[in-house]
This record gives sequence, C-alpha cells and structure tokens, in this order.
Amino acid sequence: MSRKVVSAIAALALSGSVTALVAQPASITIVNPGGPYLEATLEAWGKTFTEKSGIKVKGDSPQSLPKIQQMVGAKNVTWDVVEVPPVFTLRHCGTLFEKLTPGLVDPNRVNAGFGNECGVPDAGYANIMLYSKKKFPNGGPQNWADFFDVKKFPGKRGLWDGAEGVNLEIALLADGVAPENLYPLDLDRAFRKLSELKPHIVFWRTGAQSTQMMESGEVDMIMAWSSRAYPALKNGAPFEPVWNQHIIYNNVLAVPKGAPNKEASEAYIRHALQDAQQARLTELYPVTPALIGANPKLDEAGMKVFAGTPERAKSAIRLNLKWVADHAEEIQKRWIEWLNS
Amino acid sequence: MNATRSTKGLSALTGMQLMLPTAVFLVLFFVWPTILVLSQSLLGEGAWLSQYTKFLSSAGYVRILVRTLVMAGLVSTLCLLIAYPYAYLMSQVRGHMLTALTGVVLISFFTSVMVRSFAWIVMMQRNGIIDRLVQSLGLESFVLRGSTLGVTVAMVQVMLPFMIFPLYSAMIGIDRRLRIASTSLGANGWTTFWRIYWPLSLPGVVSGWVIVFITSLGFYIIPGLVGSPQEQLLSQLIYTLIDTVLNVPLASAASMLLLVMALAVVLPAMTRFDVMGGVTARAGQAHDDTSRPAAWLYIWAAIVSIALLLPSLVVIPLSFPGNASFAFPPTSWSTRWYERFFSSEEWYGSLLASLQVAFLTMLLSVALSVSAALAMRRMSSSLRATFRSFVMAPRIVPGIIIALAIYGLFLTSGLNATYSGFVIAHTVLALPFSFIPIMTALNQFDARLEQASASLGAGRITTLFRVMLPLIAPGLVTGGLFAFVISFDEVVVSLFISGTELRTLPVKMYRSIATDIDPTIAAASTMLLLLTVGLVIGSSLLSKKFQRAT
Amino acid sequence: MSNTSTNGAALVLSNLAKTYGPLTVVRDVSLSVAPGEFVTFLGPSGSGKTTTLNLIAGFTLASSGHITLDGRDLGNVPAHQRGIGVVFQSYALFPHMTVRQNIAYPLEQRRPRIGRATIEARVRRVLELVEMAGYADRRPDQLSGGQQQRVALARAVVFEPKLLLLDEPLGALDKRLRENLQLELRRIHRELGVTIIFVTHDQDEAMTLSDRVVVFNEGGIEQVGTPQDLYGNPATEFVARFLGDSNIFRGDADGLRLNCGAVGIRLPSADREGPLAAMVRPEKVRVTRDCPGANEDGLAVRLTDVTFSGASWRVEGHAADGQSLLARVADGSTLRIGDDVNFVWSLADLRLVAKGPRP
Repeated sequence: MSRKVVSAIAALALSGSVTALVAQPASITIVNPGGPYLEATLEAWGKTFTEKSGIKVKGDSPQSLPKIQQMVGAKNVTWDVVEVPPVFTLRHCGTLFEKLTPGLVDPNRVNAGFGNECGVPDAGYANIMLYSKKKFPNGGPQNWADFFDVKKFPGKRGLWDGAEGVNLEIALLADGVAPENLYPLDLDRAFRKLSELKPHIVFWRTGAQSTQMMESGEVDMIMAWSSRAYPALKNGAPFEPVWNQHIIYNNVLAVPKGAPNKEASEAYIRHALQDAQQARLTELYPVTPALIGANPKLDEAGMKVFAGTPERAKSAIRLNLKWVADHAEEIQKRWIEWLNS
Repeated sequence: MNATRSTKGLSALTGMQLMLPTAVFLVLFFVWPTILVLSQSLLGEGAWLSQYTKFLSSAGYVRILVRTLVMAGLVSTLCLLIAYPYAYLMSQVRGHMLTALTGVVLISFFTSVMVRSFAWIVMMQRNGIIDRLVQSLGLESFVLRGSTLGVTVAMVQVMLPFMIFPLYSAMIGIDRRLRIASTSLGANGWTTFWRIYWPLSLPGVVSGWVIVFITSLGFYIIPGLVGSPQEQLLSQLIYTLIDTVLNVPLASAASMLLLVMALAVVLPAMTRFDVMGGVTARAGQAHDDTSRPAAWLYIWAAIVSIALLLPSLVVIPLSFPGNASFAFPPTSWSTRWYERFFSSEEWYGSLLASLQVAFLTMLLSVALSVSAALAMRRMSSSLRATFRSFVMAPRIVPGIIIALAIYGLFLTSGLNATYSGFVIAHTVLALPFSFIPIMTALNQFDARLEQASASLGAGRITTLFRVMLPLIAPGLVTGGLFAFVISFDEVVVSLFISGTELRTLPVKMYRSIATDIDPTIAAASTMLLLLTVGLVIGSSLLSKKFQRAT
Repeated sequence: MSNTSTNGAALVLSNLAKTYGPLTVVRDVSLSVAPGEFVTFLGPSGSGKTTTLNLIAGFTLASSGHITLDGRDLGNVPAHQRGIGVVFQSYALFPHMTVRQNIAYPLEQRRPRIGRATIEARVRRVLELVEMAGYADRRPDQLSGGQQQRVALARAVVFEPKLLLLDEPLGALDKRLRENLQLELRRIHRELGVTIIFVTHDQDEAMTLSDRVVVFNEGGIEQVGTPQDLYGNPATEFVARFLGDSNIFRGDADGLRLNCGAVGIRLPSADREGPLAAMVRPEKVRVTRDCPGANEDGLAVRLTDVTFSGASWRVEGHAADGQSLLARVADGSTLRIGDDVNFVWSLADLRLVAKGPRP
C-alpha cells in the first residue's frame, strides 16, 4: 500500500498531473532557519509543490534540535520536512530522523559528505573570506594564513561563533596543514592557532550580524557565509570575496522520526531537488544550490558570492563531517572553554 | 443539604476551596514540569551525579558560572547605587514632581524588553549613536556591543525599575519625624542617614537587590543580543548545550546550579525581609510635611530619567528609513516599514496574538490572584507565609528553566503554539506580579464591611461583587496591568512554545533581530513605545479616578 | 421599659459556647430577651460580649448551644438570611457608595425585589428618622463620625429587622456627641419598637440606655438584671466593682462578724459562714466623728483626700489595716486631709457578694 502511494506520488511529481490520493495530507509543514529564506523556500519549492500535488505547504522556523527531540520523544511530531545542518542527521539518524527512501536525489549530482540515509543535501553556501577594499585598497589577504597574520594585515576579523565545520579547519589551514590532512582534527593545534588571533576577533552569531558587520565596517575582514555576504555587497559594502580555501557547506532536508506524512515529505524533497526549483531558490535567496549544475540567473553581486560555479566548487576545501559529528560534544565543550578562557 | 454545613462550609471550607485553583494550577504547570526538567540532570551516562562533576570539572564552564554570579552581583549593586537617590527623591516630593518621577519609572518598566534590547543594539553597534558621539569628540571608536560593559549598561538600565519600586515602597514607610528627631538629638546629616535612614530602608534595599540579582542570573535576551560569545553567561550556555549538542542532562545540571545560586541568595534574605512583596509599590501616598531635597538629587534624578527613557526613543527615527538598514540617522526616509508591518501577516498577526494572549493572561492571573488572596485571609499566619512564597515561586526560578519545563510539558499535552498554552505559560510568570497588589489591596480591606454586607442581607457572591471587588479595584487594575504587560513582553518562554500556528510579537521581534536587518522591528518598537506611554498615562488617570472614588 | 406594642422579636440563647482550640471565649451563655426589650451586654474587653454578639449575628458559628429568634432556630441560617440589623463600632459604611446607596443596599437584597420608588421612599424616611435628610448624596468620608454613625444606624434599621445589634456604636465618639446619640437611640428604639442588643464597656451608657443589663466576665454571664438591680444588689464582687464605685471587705464570716485581718465588720445576719465579701456603696457612707449607732457599723479612717465634684464631695481615707475606703457626701467642706473620722453605714446598706478573684 505505502509503496503504491510513494510510487503514485513520485509519478505525480514527475508527470505534473493532479490526481486525488486517498492517503494524501491536506498540508505539510516545512521548517528552516526562517526569515526571508523561509519565504524564498516557500515560494520556490512550496508553491510549485502545491501546484503539482495539491498539498499545501506551511512554513515554520527556526528548526531547533531540542524541539525535534522533544517532539519525537513525545510522539507528537508536527514538522514534516526540516532543513538542518548535516551534523544533526549524521549524529541522530534513525533516532531523531527517519531513514529515507534511497534515490530522492541522484548522488552524483550533489557534493559528497553531507547527505546520508537520513539527510538529503538541499542548499548551502560557502564559508568565504571577504576583506575590506577600503582598508586594503592595494590587495587584501588571499588565504587563511593571511587572515591569521595580523602583522601583515592588521585589523579586526569577523568570525562565526560556532565550532563545527569551519573555524577549526581554517585555523589548521592557516597553520600550514594541508587540506587533505585536516582530519582527524588536531584540536590542540587548532585552538592554539585560534588563540593567537583571539584579541583581533569580533564574533558574529547570526547571519544578520555578519551582514551588519560588513555594512557598518565594524571589521576589516571576515569569515562569512556567501549567502549572508550577498546583501552586504548588494547594499554597497566595500568588501571583496576571496575564492581560495573556501569551504562549501550544505544543509540537508530530513524528516523527523515519526512524522505523520512521510510519503508526502519525500515527494517534497524529491521536488525540491530538481533543477528548476534549485535555481529558483537561489534567484530568490543567494544560497548555493546543492544540485550541481543548477543554473540560476544572478545579478553581479550574486555572481560574486555564488559558490556553484565549476571552478569554485572544485577548489573548495572538503569537510569530513562524519568525524566532526562523532566528536561534536568534545568540540563544543572545548570551543566554549576556549571562548570563555 | 444541611444548612448548618453550608454555613460552616463558607468560613471553614472556602479557605481550602479558594486556594485550590491556584495551587493546582501552579503544581501542574510550574512545580511538576520544573522537577521533571531538573531531574534530568541525574540521568545521562555515568554515575548519578556525573553531570555535576562533568560540569564543575570544566574550567570554562566554571568560569561562566562565576562570571554569571559576578555579573548579577555587579548589576544589582549598580542598580542599587543608581536607584537609591532616585527613590529617595521620589519619597520626598509630591504632586507633579512625584507623578513625573513615577511616570518615568513606569514607562521604562512597561517598555518591552525587546524594544529596549533593540534600542541598545543600535546604540552600541559600530557607527551607532554612542560610537559616533565618542568619535565626534575626537576619540577612538567605542563599540559597546559585544563587550561586558555594554551588557552591564543595558542590563542595569532594564533592571532599574525593579530596584526603584521596592526602595520607594520602603522609603515612604519611614516616618520623617525620625530624622528630625535624630537631628534634634545632635546627629549630623550623615550620621542620621547611616544610623537611622539606611537601616530603616534596608527592607527595600534587600528586596530590590535580590529581585535584580535573580533576574540577572537568568537573563537571556540582553546577554544574547548585546553581549559577546566570549563573555557568555550561564543562561546562554544552557541554551547552547541544548540547542547545538542536545546535552539535556548537562543543561539540566547547569540549570540546577543556577537555581541553587538563586535560592542561596533568596532564602536567607527571605527569612529576614519581605523580599518578594516590593515589586509593585503603590504610588502617590500623601506626605504631611515637605522638606526641600538637595539640588544634586534633582540633577541625579534627571540623569537617571534620561537614561531610562532616551535609549528607547532611538527606535523612532530608525523606523522611517528609506532602505533596509539600521544606520543612524537614516539616509533617506519613508513610512514603508509601517506599511509592511500592517501588510505582513507575520507582523500584525503576531501583534494581534500578543494582545489576545495578554488579555486572557490578565483575566486568568487576576482571577487566580483574587481567589488565592481571598484564601490567604482565611489561613493561619504560618500557612499564609508558605502559600505566599509558593505563589511567588515562579519569580525566583530563572526564566530559562521555566521555559524548558513548560515546553516539555506542553509537548506531551499538545499545548505548544496554542492560545491555551501561551495563556497558561504566561500566567505562571505573571501570577507573582498580579498577586502582590491584589493581596495588598485585600489586606487593607476591612473585614467588617463583609460582615456588614451579610447583616444587610447580601450573600457571599453579592458581597464579593458589590462591596469587595469595587473596593479593591485599584489593586485589581494594578495587578491586571502587570499581568498584561508581563505577558505582552514575555520572550524566553514564548520562544520555546511558539510555532507556525501561533507566535507572539516579542518572539517575532527576537527572530527578526536574529535573522534580518529589517526596520519593521523599529516600526513595531515605535508603536509599542506609544502603546506603553498611553497605557501608563491611561492607567494613572484611571487609578486617580479610583482614588477619588474611594 | 419594653414597649407594649412591639415590632421586636424574642431572642433566646441557650447554653451558647464558642471555643477556638483550647481557648474558650464564650462559655454556657443562656439568656432570654423579650420582644422590644433594650438589653445591654456590659463587660471589659475580652469578656465575650462581642463574640456573643457575633454568634447572634451569624458572623461566627457557635461551638455548641442554640440561638432562637421568635422561636426559629438560627443555627442553620447564614448571616445574610438572619434579618438582623447590625451597627458596628467602626460604622462599616461602604466607602465607595453614597449615603443613599449605602442605605438602599439592604433593600436591594430583599426577595421578592422591592421597587425603585419604594426603596427611594424608605431611604428618605429612615434618613429623616436619624435626622440626616440632607446628606443622601454625600460619601461616607465627607461625613463626621457622628453623622456616619447615624447613617450606619439608618442602614441597619431600614429593612425593618426585628432585632438590632449594636457593637459599641458610640465608642469612637466624644462625650457630648455620645450623650446626644444615646438619647437619639432611645427615641428610635421607642419609635421602632425593635429588640436591641447593645454592646458596651461603658457602665454609664449601659445604665442610661437599657431595660436590662447583662454583665459579662471571662466568657460567661456574671449577672442579668435591671440597672437599678445590678447597682443595688450586685451578685458578685466583679459586678459590684464594675458598676459604680464600691467599698469592698473580704474576709471570713464568723457568726455576725466578718473578719478582715486587723479589722472586722458586722454582718446583718449570721446565716453565712466562710470566705465572703461584703460591699457598701460610697453614697451610703456617712462621714462622722461620732460612733456608729444601732443597726449601723463603721470604721475609723484617716482621710487622705477630699475633693469637691459638683453635686457631691468625694472623701477618701485609709482604715487601720490600710484598706482604702471611699465616701460620697453632700457637704465635705469641713473635712481636712489627715483628719481622723469614722466611716459609718447602715447594716441594711451592706450587701453580701460572691467573692471573686482580686482585680
């Protein structure tokens, strides 16, 4: 029966025809960090999904791990599809997240290392370095070693307040570790390197803060998400992205364990990972499509921070998120201790 | 049904019956979920206290713990130093001056914490107002956002009203003739202050200090939005532990430590002073004689008034920029953020939701407070003190713990993101605030009026509605207003229990600050500010009318 | 004097008691009050008189015993259904209502409902009764204490209760006002014919107003009687001391003598033996340099104080054993402090009273 429904929905999604289905829910709720990004997602993916399937798509935000955990624990799951960092699905696959039907996306068309049985990469960004052209009119830092070199490039550095997936890696890269030898991460060495830079760091916690930092000139260089650098550049902030040693990062779509509309959710995920939808989302909000080869039409600022070009995709540093996920607690603890020491 | 039993019942049983709704409400929605959350600290891997040893063996965590304590102590002490002369002046003046001084504190108190936090963010950021002011003096740039100093300044400003009210409340109780007497006995002004005035004002000092200390211990919004991750406080750590690594047992252990610290301060103070009563002083008591306070007091009060009111005003110009920016002053002007507020379902929908939730919370809190206060009149004095502490207990449990507790409870009962859920959660938090003025009013109510009413043939219900409630109306209005504002302003718990179906305005504002640069929040803040001012002026007129009537 | 045509109710208290845990505040109170009678509960504070009043009003529930009003047992009836008017010492006027609203309040509680016009008329009438006709629209805080008490009285009688309880209603007023209101109260009592229970600790007030006085002491009734009765023939030392001044001799009766330590006095008869107290009122004492005559007795006294108090002279002195004695005489102008005189009284004026604890 359920296989029948799945194939029916799959067929439906592919053919685009509308047929009433017995097991079809009236609506599903998709969840991501919220704000304009949620609006863009609902527009690019949700609306088209409703047109095809007749299932309404509601949005909620923010996606929070404790909320998912409590929902699952209480067996009262009201979220159908959540966009979460891959570390979540790597750590909690089968416990907090449903194992998904394989083949929701062609694995050859997405970056490796983000998806697993429970998560399908859907969109992302690159962790890139940007520097102020005002402060460094004759050329700024070109790699993470420069970013950490306060003698050569004095000034304030903006850095994300988070441990997983970027800061330790760039510290090690700056310290001369080759990209292919990053893992297992040498935590002591990474924190030692970070400590050198600490007096010069201004931390940002939310993407909006990083945008604000660039616009107000609070920092002279910054590690930012390409998606959040876009509005700053668009508003004329004099920052220049450096496409070297950038780290591509994808979030994944997942279904919380015990969510009531798994078939419809999977149909939604399948729908989201098609070229048109992927490109459309990027046009509405400057994320990088997870689907390699999706080809959005972008303006000049958009192209500046678009991580999806073949050469930028090729030169990106590869993360080993499985290792990060396995050591998440230790990394988190050491990060807080380092921050507050 | 035997009439003897019913008569007896009215005086003997009603004490218990009246207590029941409030007691059941608090046990169900506060005590029980809190115990559940805290008990999780004993779970997790390892021995049953392993979460505590794990927490306390981390130098970083302990540093955060100590920093939180020091910060709370610093904020409450600064508040005391700033508030004391202000409250003293309030207790010495009358008429328009008193109305003005009280009005300033009330407006500040009732101005949404989200509005004030947002104001501080834009004031303190790079190229913000403070930075520009300092730069225009030819000094180096001065960015308070992300610094401990910035957090301290913002927290002190937000907490000041919590300090001024209990101080004022204690000071108006001090007989002025005592100072005259002391002077006539040959003591100079300073001696009189230290030996006579200060000891007599001590209940207000302790009460204010403790309330500010506890609130600061569990403060989440300002350290989170204004502070730096390098200077984390415990509530942020608890949030991080849960949000990023899902370590609920460790977060519970941290919560437990937070609670223990709060109790360590409250309990000793509570045995000697009426710590929890001074939150809501009744303003406008008459003085017999007038002395002339020193000029420096007026200057001090003027500075404090400016500090209390001015920062919030920056949100007004920020709500009219032409582009999506928080630059101050805006480079171009438009009213489109107001249009956006009223055309965005998310914004005005959350405003409507907030108004409805606050209104229902007000009704429920007042009803529970009245029944609890009525019950207390029929109790022995020891039972009364216990029951009172019980009703006040949500006040001494840091907000983040209540948030976790209620969220967990609501999930199993499907109350998250529902009106009932919001009203219940907000009532837990609002009850201490509505209870105190209502209880005070009832205590001042002459029991013989009830007997008189009965002797004139009125039943209990008639007496309640025709005699008692009209006479305690000022207390009801104050209590209701507090409940409304507490609910309307609540963020931390609301962040947890909101969802697509229902989201209140402060949650929307918090999300907005966290995710966008969207001047709609400034438009919302401006409107909230006007609402607050209107509410304070309206309620003071209303209470004047009541005072005249009674 | 009780009215012959009365609107009052008969009140009977039988074996009424009230205890709070181990504490007994009213013990075994039994009393019959005739319709239209004016009865005063007199006693020091804490003697149980106000508690008894509260039991009658229904504000407090009796631990045991019965209260009947015109034969109806009130034990089952809550305060608001007893139909008893109460006037409180603190007036207990509703501060948020005008005089008119205060007085209309009990009428609005009657079932079946009373029409607006009738209420208005009755409020007007009762305000005339207490001579407050011009004050209907004032609020209580705009009235003097005496005026407030008149309104309280009006409010308590407007619904024509058959029993009116007054709990020290004049206690908060000054002397002149009090005396005026006492007269008013008597007049209103006469006009309405209602049964009145009046609580006071002021013996003069009790004497002036009442048909009968009930003296309370330590939670129980000490003696019940007309004012003249109680003054002339107190049953106990407590009543003797509480009502008016008295000279009291305590001792052991031995035949015709009462031995009070160093001195002794004659008793009118020899029918009492053992510990006993005897009392003579000061106005029955003659101050003389002569010896007592037949059927008289007396003691030698050295005067310690002689004061003129208008209608009479107050003469105080010490007997040989040091006991202080008091006499009230028409003319004391010839007496000097330090004079040795005799205090002499007729044996017929000596009253034997039950010996109580020395106050």
